[in-house]
Amino acid sequence: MIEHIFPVHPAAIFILGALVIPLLKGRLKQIYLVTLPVVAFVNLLYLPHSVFWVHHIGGFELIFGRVDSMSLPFGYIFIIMAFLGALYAIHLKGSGEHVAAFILVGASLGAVFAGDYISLYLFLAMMTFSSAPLIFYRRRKSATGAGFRYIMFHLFGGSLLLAGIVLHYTFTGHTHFGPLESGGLYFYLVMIGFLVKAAVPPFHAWLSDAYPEGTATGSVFLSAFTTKVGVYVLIRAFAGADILIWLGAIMAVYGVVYAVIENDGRRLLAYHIISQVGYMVAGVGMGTQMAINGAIAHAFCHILYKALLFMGPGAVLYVTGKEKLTELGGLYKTMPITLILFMVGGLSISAVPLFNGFVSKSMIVAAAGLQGEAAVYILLVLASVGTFLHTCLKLPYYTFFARDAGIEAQEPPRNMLMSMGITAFLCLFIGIYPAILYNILPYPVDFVPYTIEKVVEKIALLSFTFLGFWLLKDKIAGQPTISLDTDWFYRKAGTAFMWFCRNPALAFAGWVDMTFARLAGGFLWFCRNPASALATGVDSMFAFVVRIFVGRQRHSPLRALKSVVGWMDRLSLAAEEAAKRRAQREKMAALAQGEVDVRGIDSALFLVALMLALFLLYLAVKYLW
Amino acid sequence: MDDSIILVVMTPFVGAYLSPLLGLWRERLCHLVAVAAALLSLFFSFRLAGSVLTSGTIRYWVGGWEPPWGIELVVDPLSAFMCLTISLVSLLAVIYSKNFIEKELPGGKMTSYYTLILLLIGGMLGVVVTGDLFNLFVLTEIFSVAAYALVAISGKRGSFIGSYRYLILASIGTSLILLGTGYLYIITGTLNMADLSVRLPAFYDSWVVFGALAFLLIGFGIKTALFPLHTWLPGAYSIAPTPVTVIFSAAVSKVGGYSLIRVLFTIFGLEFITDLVPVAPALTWVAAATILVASMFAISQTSLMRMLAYSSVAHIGYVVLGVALAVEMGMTGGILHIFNHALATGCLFFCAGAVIYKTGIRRIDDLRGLGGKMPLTMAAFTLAAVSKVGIPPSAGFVSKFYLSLGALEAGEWIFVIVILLASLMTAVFYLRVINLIFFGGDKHEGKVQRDELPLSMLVPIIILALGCAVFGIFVGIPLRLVEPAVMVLSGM
Amino acid sequence: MRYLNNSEKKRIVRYRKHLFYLGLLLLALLEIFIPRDPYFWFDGLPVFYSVFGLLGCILTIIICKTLGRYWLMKSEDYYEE
Repeated sequence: MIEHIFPVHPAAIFILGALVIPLLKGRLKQIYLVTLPVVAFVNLLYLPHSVFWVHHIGGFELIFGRVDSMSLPFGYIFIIMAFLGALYAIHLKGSGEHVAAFILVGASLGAVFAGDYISLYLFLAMMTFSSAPLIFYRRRKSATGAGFRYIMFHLFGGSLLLAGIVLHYTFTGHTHFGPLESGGLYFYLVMIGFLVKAAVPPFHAWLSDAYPEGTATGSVFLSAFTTKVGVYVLIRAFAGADILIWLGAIMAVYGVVYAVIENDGRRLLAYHIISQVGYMVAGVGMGTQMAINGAIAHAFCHILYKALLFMGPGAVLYVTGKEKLTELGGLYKTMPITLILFMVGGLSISAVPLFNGFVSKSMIVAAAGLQGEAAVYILLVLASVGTFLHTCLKLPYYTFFARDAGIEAQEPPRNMLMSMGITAFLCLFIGIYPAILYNILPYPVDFVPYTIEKVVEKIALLSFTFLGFWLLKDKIAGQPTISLDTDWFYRKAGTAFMWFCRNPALAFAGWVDMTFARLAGGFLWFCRNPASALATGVDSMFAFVVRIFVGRQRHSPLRALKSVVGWMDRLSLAAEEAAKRRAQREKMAALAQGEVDVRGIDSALFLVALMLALFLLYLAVKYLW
Repeated sequence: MDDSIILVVMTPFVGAYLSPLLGLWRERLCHLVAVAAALLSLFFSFRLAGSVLTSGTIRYWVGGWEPPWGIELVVDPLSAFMCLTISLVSLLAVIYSKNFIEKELPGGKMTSYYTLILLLIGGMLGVVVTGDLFNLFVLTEIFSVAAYALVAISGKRGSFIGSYRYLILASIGTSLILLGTGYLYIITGTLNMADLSVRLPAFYDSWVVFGALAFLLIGFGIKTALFPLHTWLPGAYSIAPTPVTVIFSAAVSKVGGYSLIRVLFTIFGLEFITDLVPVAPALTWVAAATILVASMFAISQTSLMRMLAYSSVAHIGYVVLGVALAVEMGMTGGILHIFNHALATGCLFFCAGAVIYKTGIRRIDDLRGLGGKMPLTMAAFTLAAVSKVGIPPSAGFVSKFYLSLGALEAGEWIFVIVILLASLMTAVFYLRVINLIFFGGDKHEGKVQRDELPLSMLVPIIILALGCAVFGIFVGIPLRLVEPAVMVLSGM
Repeated sequence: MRYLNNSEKKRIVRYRKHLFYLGLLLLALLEIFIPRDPYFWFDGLPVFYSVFGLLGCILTIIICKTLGRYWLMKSEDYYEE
């Protein structure tokens, strides 16, 4: 029976569904928030592999539903994430955040199923705008600034993408979204547009800038969607682009480096998103079936454990209002469940066997190994050392153990714990039973994660990392600082630009206005008494010219002649006289001013009406005649 | 012969004639008359558009006199498109006026107001349907006179100065237009546009033709408010009553642009303005400068009305840029933007007016927290702002997309950059406002109640805001008129 | 744990520490003796991953902290001025 129901676009379910949220209240709203993702998931299960919802608008073909084995895994995890995120945030009274979050989910699904560049661009822009409120709702000054920079940077990336799309259309005559031929300007423009979404350095600073500024519940949503959509579009268009291997590997280590010196817990996690997405980008760059599989699997697992990781500090922030490592400590006594669930996320991101990170991350690393990319392999392994060090050791150590900061705390609300619990269960479930994940990947998987060799290597690597951490644990305590990053450039540039607009540009605008006002004023003055004005003009011109030659300048070339030649004197006299006359005439012109008689508009209207009447009369006569 | 063509123009004029008479008896009737006249105009515009679509360009001889002696009205797809835009915006503005004018214009000025606004509408509609250059001048003058008076009508401080500056600059503009028209008449002996375009090629090497073109360009450039001739605009916009401002930004300046298009494409022809005298390329640069400079000025404004005014200037630049690119995609984008921008800017000014009506706020900083007080109005504001920035799926995106494609089609890379840069700058100043409105904390705790507008103001706002969204998705509807218009203009 | 006195606590901690070191040793030995299928010449070396974990961790911390101290770390109101 169900196949007779026309499948509904998953994006439509969320976007239209989001609009209903403000109408609901209380328990009904809570039920609605968790039911909608379930409905969407069932709907997605019944979507056959095919191309749906093709529309022709203004000569362009818009494909809204390209359902295939590449887009479906992303669809599944996005909807699962929507459910978890909604459950985590269900206690919020207001509707604004829920609406923004659901539109974000819908837009991400739309972007994933988009089959052409225009609809893709549409949904990417929608993602930008729907995710920003999740930051703005923090309602503090630094959040506003970060949200603003977030939107502007994504609009910048979007502009480049749009330029690339337009150029692509001009060259190829279609907007179909598929693998791009290398070379050509549009190749790079589209790539940069996508790299901005995936937060690849040097276009990554928006992420570490904005995500930690989000609300406690909002950041969970933020962490899941934008970068993973970036990875998806990279897979679609740039699978096998060599440059991505290197960008990805560098990115994986880059995030780790910044995580070392970061003091804000959620910002540390944000840098680890960059690091983890680096694995996926490297996988996309390798482009082999195994690497692509690995990238998609890792995106799938990453969304789960990253959400879990953001939920932990989110819960701490929600309960204590604090997020800096230097302000936290000793929470293990009051929030033990949160700690345990957070540790599941930490072990997952560190790719400990039995946790889901292990079954996906090792696939990408193995792909790098099989391709013989030694340097990339080393960088990726190094990044996983750093990941374990920070997410699994440093962050929980300084949040939950270390010195006791004496903070009053209790466990977060039940819905938060429930959401974290389900997420943790999924992390473990996929880690123990990876086949369920491997079955939905686009290419057949012939990769076995659990071999004695791999497990031992991984455990050895991480255990000795733990040893290193234990030796140096006092050295990596958080310090109350912020870190310079590539956002320095546009923060400074933005400040400079605003200064430019407020000062020179405004002055210029004023100058243009003044000049025209003066012109108009001069015109008016001229019209009051044209003869006198003309004479004044001639006089002042004469006085001006003569003064240049014989005026008061000491070193005027003709000054020397003045004493010799008598007519210079006369000229000089004449000039003075002319100036005097000018002053007199100006006074005369000014005196002519008087009050301007502003006649009532009504009389003018009467005249117009009279003329119109005559005109109508004329027409009527013309017709009748 | 279809009578819609004369009725579309005469209805507002008849209304303007009736309005003072009825106003003597019952002042409130004026509003009804104005609404009825605008509604009828819209109805006739639709009929006109329908018949243009089915039977192509319509010619109509007023009084049955053949040109070159009589007055000829010509309606091609572009004219019909303009008619629809103008009459739609005018109708909404007149509806909006009901409560706004009662509050903002006390003291028996209602009669004058509605009469003038009908004159303004009639003049503009006349300009877009006339096929005669001299008539175009006369009707331009008619609506300009009404416009001067409307700017000054509130009699508040600064309104006379604003109106006066507008009057001076615009009069200079109209004088130049008259001079240009005169030159063309001297050399060709006709004022009919179709005749002119036939006879002009013989004089293409004459200096008189160049002079005429230059005069007409500058004259209409002032009317269109191209940089640096835009200086009258922010003052006039921020002083005039809001419904008038809406008509100004959505229609009056567009009529200037329309006249520019007529002069360039219908009278002089594509070949002359691109190959013989590179007027069109020069205009693209002027338009690009307009877009960038006006956007920059908008960023630095502190008054909401002035910010919107500068933003409006920038968007007229888009229209001119698209048309002056003189390629199919560019012209489609430019002409489409006339409509899309009318929707967005109309909505924005309506919202700004609503804020003034409700709270008296004019400064951007004071808008903090109004999102909670006037949620519908502010949501509409956001939607329209999104359209202005050019974010899909709003209408503004469509025209931006076509403009970019047009710039590439013309091989002018630089304008793609200009368009994208300008949309970033637009985002800067609109986002700032939206952020203040919704997340700026609450400055008016207790002072302003949660309070929406009267229906007569809310309905136009919501219609325009929905239009911004709807016409971003159903682009085909305006394109049905725009595409033939581009065909006719580029002589295909 | 909560009810133990201080010396007992210390003893337990020491006992755990020893257990941990024993585990590390076992892992290193395992890495030497289990059959390996390396991708490159280096990752098949005995105790490669153990040494990599330890050195990687220590070097990462030292290098990043140095970078941070002399360049990247700024006071929290750096952008405010």
